[in-house]
Amino acid sequence: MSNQKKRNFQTEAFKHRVVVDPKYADKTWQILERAIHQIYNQDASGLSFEELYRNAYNMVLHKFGDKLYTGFIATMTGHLKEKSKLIEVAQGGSFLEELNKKWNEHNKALEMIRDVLMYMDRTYVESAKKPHVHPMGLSLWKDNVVRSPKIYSRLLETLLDLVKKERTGEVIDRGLLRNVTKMFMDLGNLCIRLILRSLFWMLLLCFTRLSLRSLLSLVIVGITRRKLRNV
Amino acid sequence: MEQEYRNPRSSVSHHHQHHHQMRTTVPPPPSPHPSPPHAESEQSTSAALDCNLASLCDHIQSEGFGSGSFSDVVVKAMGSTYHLHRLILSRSSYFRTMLQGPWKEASSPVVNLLVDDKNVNGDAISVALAYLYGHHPKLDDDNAFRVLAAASFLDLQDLCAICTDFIISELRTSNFLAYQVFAESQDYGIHGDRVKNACWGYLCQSGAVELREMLPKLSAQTLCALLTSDELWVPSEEKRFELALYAFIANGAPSNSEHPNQHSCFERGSSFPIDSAVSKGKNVVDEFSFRSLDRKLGRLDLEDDLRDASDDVLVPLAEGVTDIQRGVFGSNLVFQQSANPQTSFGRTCTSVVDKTEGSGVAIKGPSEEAYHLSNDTWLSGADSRNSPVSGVVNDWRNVGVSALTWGGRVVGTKQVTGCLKGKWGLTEEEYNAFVNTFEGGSLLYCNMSFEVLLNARKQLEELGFPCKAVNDGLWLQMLLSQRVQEVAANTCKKCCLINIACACKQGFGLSHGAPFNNYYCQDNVQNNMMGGIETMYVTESSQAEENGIFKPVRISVRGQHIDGLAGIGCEATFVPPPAWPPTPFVYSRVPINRNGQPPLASDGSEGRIGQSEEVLKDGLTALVGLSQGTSGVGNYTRGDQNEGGHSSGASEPREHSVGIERENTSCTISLDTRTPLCHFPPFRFGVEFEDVHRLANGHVEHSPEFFYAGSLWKISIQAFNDEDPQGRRTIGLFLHRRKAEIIDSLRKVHVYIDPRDKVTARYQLVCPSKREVMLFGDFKQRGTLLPKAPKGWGWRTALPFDELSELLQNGALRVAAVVQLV
Repeated sequence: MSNQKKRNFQTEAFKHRVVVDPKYADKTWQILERAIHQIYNQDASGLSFEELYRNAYNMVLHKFGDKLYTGFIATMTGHLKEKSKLIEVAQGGSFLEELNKKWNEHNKALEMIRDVLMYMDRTYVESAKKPHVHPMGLSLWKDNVVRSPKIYSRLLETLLDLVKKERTGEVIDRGLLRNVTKMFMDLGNLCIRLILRSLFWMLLLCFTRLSLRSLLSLVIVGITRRKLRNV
Repeated sequence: MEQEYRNPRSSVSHHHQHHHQMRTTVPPPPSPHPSPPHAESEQSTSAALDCNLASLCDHIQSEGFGSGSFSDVVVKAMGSTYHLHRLILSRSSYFRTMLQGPWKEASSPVVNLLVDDKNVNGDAISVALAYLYGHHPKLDDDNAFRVLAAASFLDLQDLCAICTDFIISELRTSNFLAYQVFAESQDYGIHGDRVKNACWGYLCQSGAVELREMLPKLSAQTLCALLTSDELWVPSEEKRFELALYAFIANGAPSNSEHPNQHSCFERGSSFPIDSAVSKGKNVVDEFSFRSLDRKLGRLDLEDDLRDASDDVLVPLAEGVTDIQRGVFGSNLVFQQSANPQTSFGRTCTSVVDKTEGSGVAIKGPSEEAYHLSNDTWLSGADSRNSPVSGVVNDWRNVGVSALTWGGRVVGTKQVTGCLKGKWGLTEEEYNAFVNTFEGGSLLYCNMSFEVLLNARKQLEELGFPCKAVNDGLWLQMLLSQRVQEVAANTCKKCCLINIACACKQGFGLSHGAPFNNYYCQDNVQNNMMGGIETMYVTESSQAEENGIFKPVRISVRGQHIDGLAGIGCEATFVPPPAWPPTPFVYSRVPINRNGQPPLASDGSEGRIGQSEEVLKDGLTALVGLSQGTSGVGNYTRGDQNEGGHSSGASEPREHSVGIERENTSCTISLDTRTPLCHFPPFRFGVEFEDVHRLANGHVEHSPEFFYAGSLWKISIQAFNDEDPQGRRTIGLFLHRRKAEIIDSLRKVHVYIDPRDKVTARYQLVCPSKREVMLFGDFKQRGTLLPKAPKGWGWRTALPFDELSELLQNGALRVAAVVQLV
């Protein structure tokens, strides 16, 4: 009896207040996914930040942060795989240029995606203790492009080749070399170390006659002394 | 300890600071003032600068936000149009990104803001935008969370912090629920978490009193976490149980009255699935007060009905229904319970009925003759049909009915829950939360007095819970008493150490070990156990003594899924990590050893030998005086692993945990007298100190005493003015223990004496408040040797006086304590 009486006072609304359309998360994510595709396909000018941010915000707000995060990683991985294929097929000299171009594109896209996912970065990522969007994007690039087997060794060879050419007096695109080495820096210490180590040994093997110091100093154009010491 | 509670607070004040800094530094620096060489001129310049700044602020606020002069961007939001300025908007990283990046809005003169968040309204947006122009937000109960939501959307972290501070400081009984729902159902990042934490603290502090009415409205997750939490202030375990029961009943109330006719089925057979169309035709009494009467009536007709029921069910049985015996039992159940017309029952229970659970309910009723009768009758009736039944068992198992976890045990199929849901309007989640609360071992039944336990058991039974945990509670209580007295007897009077570790006296190993081995052997023999395991046991225990360490031999821990004691130690998915170590209720695994299985391979225990069951049954009956239905108890075997070939009594499927538990109970009575004390559940109590503010320096206030493990425990507070290094007045918080005294008038079965002068215990004192939940002490520690009464042990600078206002509830300080002898 008392139960029944109490019932009148119960505000049912409180118990299951947020009734979310079961397909809500999927729908919202589709909007965002499409946007990420557009960003990667270089036609982002028409995108509305307001709309994308709001959708990403709502997903996190309604506790779909996990879906958003994994979705973002999956979509970006897909794009990077495509890019790495494009880079692979680039012939000869254009290889490094292609790599550099894609790297710049990726950076730009990553920045935009990070902006859109700003709220996720601030809340979900923090509480779930996952890597933030930007570092995550970089490490995805590292894993899917730089360290993909067909690119990695070729990249090293090309770099060495450039060095060799420079030593033999040819004119090389120093700017490109600088950009690529800068990419390694952006990708973080681990990557620098890996690349340097392989480069170092290859250099030792190939150019034992040349002065090591001069070689290294050439390769590591963009790397400061401090970084070098760390290595 | 100081650290522990200071940290969160300092982070709060940091917020303030940060915020102030922001507000003073944010206006663009009026740059071209050359740095003045002289002090006086510096002063005058800074005064002029302040003046200049103030006028700039005024200008921005009135001209900029007020009249929208020189506006270079129009923001439309929630039906309002604001003429704003990019420069000012860029204070928010949201607007900065939007107006700067390669986005559509960057070049557009009008920005349309859509806000989907229901918590945000136009007013809140306006407050947030005004904040960007330097207006201080005017917050009240109605708009604080709306502004917080708007600020969160616009990424105005400082405004968020202001709102959160306001909400926390204004948290009250009246608005608690709104804020709790607000913070729980959406993810507002750290700010939402702060509100959530404040709500939690407040709930822990006042949940048992002021916020009691709110409990049923909480989400199942929160409610379960609260009811099982050590942080909840509640005077005793009994009150905690009452609170949980209240919440459960109130939670189920709405739909209960909507489907009154299903109610009784629920209360009887917890796992009895109902075809609602059928059940609606039943004549059922739904008032709690009528239940016992109802049941008595039912019992009268029982004998006849039972036979009928069995016959009814045999029809589908013969037709090859998936699970016949369950059906049989289900029917039996219903017949037992009431005089409901059983017309279409046989058909109904072709759906899966969990016979085991049903039997549990039927059997464990309060001891009344009629019950005995009914069970016997049923058994005799069912015996004749045993062969077909047991024949089907295996088939059923092979079919592999998907099992559902029920308070850590496996019972039947989803319908179990579905049925309850239907009747109580509880979702599966809610329902599981309650099962977990009542049966998951988080309510420490063993710390309730016998009378209370009986009562609890009765109530739970009426609600259809299997009451495993309650039964275990009783056993644990007995064991604890045994164990405490034993430890006390073996403790060196001089050094208060267990004799093994005591240097004052030698030779403990022999004197202590021998009788025990005998004891075990005897017990095993008596139980007709296999000889080999006996030896195994003995060697194990003697090893332990050689090692001289009082560690849990014969105990196996099986991660999350401990099924030794009805779900004790089991954690439901959403229960916060237990406050005591994860192995707390480790119970002797001897039964498993006995079956020749390694202790950890718990799932391997096979069908039991009938005779041991009998022994256990006797034990139960004799000791508890409750298990009038034990004839059924002995019949349980594990449902999932039976190889067949057990005695006729063992042919009904029984989820294995119960079986094991029974087994355990049968032998642990003797064996577990050696379970280390620290594996028993801790004892929780809560005390309240009124008018703490008026406590004079040096003055002490004592709480009432609580009995636990042969001792009386209490908490005292004392005001100090000379303990804090910073010279603040502080309140000290102390735990006292003295040996129990048995006063004849109060003499009860469960009161016993631990005669030691000093005991070692680990303990934690909890002061929940909306500011934070302050924890003193650590349950992971090895234990503290508590000083001899009347001295207490604790923290002299636990609470500074100047922070008391935030910690008190109506002027009273509430302290919850968790104590465990080690």
